[in-house]
Amino acid sequence: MENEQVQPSYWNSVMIASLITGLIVTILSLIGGYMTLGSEPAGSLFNSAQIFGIVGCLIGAVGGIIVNWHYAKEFDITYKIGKGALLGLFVGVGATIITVLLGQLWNIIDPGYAQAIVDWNIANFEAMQLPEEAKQQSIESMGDPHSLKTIGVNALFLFISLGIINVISGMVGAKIFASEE
Amino acid sequence: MFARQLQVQNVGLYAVVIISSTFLLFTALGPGIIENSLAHPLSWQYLIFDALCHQDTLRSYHINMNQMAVCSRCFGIYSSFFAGWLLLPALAFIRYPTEKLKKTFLIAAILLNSTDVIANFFNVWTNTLNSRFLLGALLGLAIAFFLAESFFKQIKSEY
Repeated sequence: MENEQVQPSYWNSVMIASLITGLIVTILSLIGGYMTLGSEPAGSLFNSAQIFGIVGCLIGAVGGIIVNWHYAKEFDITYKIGKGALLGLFVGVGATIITVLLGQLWNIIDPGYAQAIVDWNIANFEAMQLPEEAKQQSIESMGDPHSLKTIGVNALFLFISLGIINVISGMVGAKIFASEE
Repeated sequence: MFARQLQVQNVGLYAVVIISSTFLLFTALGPGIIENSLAHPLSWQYLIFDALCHQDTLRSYHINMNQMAVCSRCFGIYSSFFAGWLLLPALAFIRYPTEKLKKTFLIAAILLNSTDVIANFFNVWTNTLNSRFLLGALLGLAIAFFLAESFFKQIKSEY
């Protein structure tokens, strides 16, 4: 049974987990980005410089584990798995916001980074074995990396992946750290 | 005399996870599942998994000339989690292993995958597309089974 008597706020745990997840995703993304910029556009769909990202596979799912660990241990409570999933979803939202904000902050620290990534991708598209029309379409679709539309679309995609993955890891976290059984 | 019954709980959440994992699996398959020609390099499938997977061409399966949106290990995780999740009600009728065993299975799957990544990185051995897929599949299944009893529980009732 859920501990009805104690219903402490989980927002502190959500913020901590979001911050950690957002930081990890941003740092891995930046390292991968700079490694990409340091390599030659070879025309492959994804550059081998992204090899660093191997350690980053599914690392974005840690938020659901962290939030449940922190919340359950901080208040020494148990709760249902559904609440664990909800906390994971909140972390997905929070981590998306943190990642977008850190990305924008990085644009102030290194104003040329986003445009350099776009330019690298354009050079990569040109090296691809694609029909000319498809190449042009790909290049045009890159858009302005600083536009609200691009930022919004990227945030939406990020939220979809982080949201779903952290709901699942949130259930696992709740089962490990806050199981009522 | 005893009768075995299936106790179902958290039905809404189970359904949400079915829908979500179906979407994840469909997306993970990449644009090749709906396009015969070479797809746009910035297709939405690739963008969705951009932050979650390295998406290395050499470490990914291809469908219709198009790289999947995730690497073979991640594809193993998503596909087997989806299959395991769908099978949970059926598996509930089989005698479940104990919680401790399921937890051990999950930890073993995580350790096996971690060891494989590290050993491959330091050239202790070279893994393959299929070996990565199989180890990922082990992890996806382990996660589904670990969560099983929170959704479907076999109970014995006396009559």
